[in-house]
Amino acid sequence: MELSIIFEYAPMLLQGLQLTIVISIGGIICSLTLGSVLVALSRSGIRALVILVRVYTEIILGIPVLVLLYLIYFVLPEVGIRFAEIPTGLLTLTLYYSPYMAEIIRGAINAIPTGQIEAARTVGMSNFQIAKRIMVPQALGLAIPPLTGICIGLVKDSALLSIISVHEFAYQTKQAVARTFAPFELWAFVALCYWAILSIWEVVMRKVERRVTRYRETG
Amino acid sequence: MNTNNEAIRAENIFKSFGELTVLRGVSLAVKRGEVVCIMGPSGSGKSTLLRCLNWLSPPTEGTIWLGGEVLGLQETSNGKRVVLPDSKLRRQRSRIGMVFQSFNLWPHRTAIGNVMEGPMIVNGASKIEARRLANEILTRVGLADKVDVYPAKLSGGQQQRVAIARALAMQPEIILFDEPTSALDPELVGEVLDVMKSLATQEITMIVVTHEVEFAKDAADRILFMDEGLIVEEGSPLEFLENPKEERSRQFLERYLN
Amino acid sequence: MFNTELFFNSIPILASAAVVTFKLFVCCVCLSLMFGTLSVMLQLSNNRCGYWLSRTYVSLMRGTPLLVQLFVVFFGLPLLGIKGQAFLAAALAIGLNSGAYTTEILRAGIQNVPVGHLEAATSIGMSRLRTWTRVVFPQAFTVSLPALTNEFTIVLKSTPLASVVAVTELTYAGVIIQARAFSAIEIFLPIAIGYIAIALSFTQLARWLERRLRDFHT
Repeated sequence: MELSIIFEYAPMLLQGLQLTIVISIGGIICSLTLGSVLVALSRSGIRALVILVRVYTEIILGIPVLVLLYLIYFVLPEVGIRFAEIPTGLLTLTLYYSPYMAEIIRGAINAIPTGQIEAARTVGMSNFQIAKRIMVPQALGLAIPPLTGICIGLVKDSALLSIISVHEFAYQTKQAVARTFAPFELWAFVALCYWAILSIWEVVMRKVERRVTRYRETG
Repeated sequence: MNTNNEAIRAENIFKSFGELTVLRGVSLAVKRGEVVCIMGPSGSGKSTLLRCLNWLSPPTEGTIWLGGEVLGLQETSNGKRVVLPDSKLRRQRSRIGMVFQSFNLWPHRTAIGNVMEGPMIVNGASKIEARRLANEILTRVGLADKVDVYPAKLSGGQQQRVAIARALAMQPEIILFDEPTSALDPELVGEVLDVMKSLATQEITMIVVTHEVEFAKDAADRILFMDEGLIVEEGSPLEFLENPKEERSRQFLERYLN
Repeated sequence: MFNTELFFNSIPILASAAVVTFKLFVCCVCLSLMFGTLSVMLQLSNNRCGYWLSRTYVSLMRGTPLLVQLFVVFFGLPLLGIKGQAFLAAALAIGLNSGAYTTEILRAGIQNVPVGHLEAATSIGMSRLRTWTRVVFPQAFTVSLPALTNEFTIVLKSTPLASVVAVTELTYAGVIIQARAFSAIEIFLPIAIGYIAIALSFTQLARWLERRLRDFHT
């Protein structure tokens, strides 16, 4: 086993890791946004929109993420919609994870007792003020545990973007493997890197959650 | 119709939920500074009536006047009645305070945060003004030492007093109380009732749905007895509690006082 | 725009590729149950070493991308002397990965079995093994069935990953055909629909099984 190879190619791999982080953050933000839109649409009361959201969700939940990637990468250009690699990857992650985000948002909103909202109405707050000052702050704390899991999934799926030549962490590893013919060592090392990063992320999120929900601690 | 002496007046209120009619034509008028207690068996529509009075759950039929102004509705040019636009409705709502059975404090705000929220956000007070006002009111209800504590660390009685302070902070024309002590452990009921009694002596208009007979005797100007969606009887506490006129009132009191 | 001729010509290839997907899926599910059961028994045993081994396994599988795990297994097998076995590598990698999630599901199911049942079993003299196989596991399994169904649906959606090591399952067949024919819509749309159909039938089957077991238990 050639361990020195790892040091030699570390800079190249690190570049890929940077892109992984950027794409992951982008994917999280975009899928949260689209997820909120989905929740808003399904609460709109307009039947056509509610059905649209349901159909969209059922389709996305039924196909593998890799197939979705190929659909966007291979099939869409044939109907005239062509994206570069990184936008394709970002779009795939956004579309794929938005239903999960929607579910989390919905759960967090429903967990807030209606009594609090009634009290806010009684005092004279508008719907927007209620959403902004009463619901979102609490929903945030409620959403963090499931959100962490989904975000980890998204980061892991970002590795699939290497298949369409997005120069993220896994792609750079493939390049290094092609040059060094030490595939096992490199992939094992990269696996450990992902593990370390995602484990740290989990610990950090747990701490954040505890801080954000400190008001819930009873005397 | 427009007695300026009246804090709130309701005429012929009907409220149905689908097939079920809960209020069957309730009318009442409360003068400024009056303390009215509403009593009755569960299911009689007491809470529903209260929630109609602040338009939380608008009545199916009937009209409510808040100090001479029609609540929740406005007349259009051709004389039809339509729902008020949201901004006007909110303004009306802020003139009516409400204290809930389950307190409904906002858990992510401290006691003073809860009390400050309304004046700051709805009335546009600055943070400093709101804080000063909130401090004063919390002191009045006996919680000066708990202002920066979160609700999770407060007892039920303390939480309800914060809720009362929150209602007072909006300087409402009338405060509605929906069974304010029913969810409290017995030993905590007293501190809340004391606060309510002191409010009663301060000429604050109050409508209180309650089972606390002692409170009604001490603080109420009038008692309304409701059963099956109607006001069956009304009178001064002494009249009603010692000498109920209706059979239903008598049955209810017997069950409660014995 | 939609070349129906290409579509119909591709059906035989896609059909046999679907069979490979099915075989792969079955292998992965079996391996997942195997690793999951092993791991959960290690965790619930009184062995400290076993407990941490299991916990590390779960953390590792959940903290790394499946793609990377696949490459580790694929390039690691030759080091153990097993060369050229892409299908095995894929099944092993997906099975190992899923096994971690299965562990957690089974653990929750087992801990859900009321302690009273265990006590009743030991008090009539049942051996530990018998208690496990006849009292704990059947109940744990029934309780876990919905979550396991969910997990194995995810396994089905992970099988396309085998395409990166050239296992001719459904997705890889699609990639090959579109590379030769320079047309993708006739291939990938049916493939997408195909996966949805397979997932739906699997969920229906699982629900039927749930119902049968529930009647059997009460």
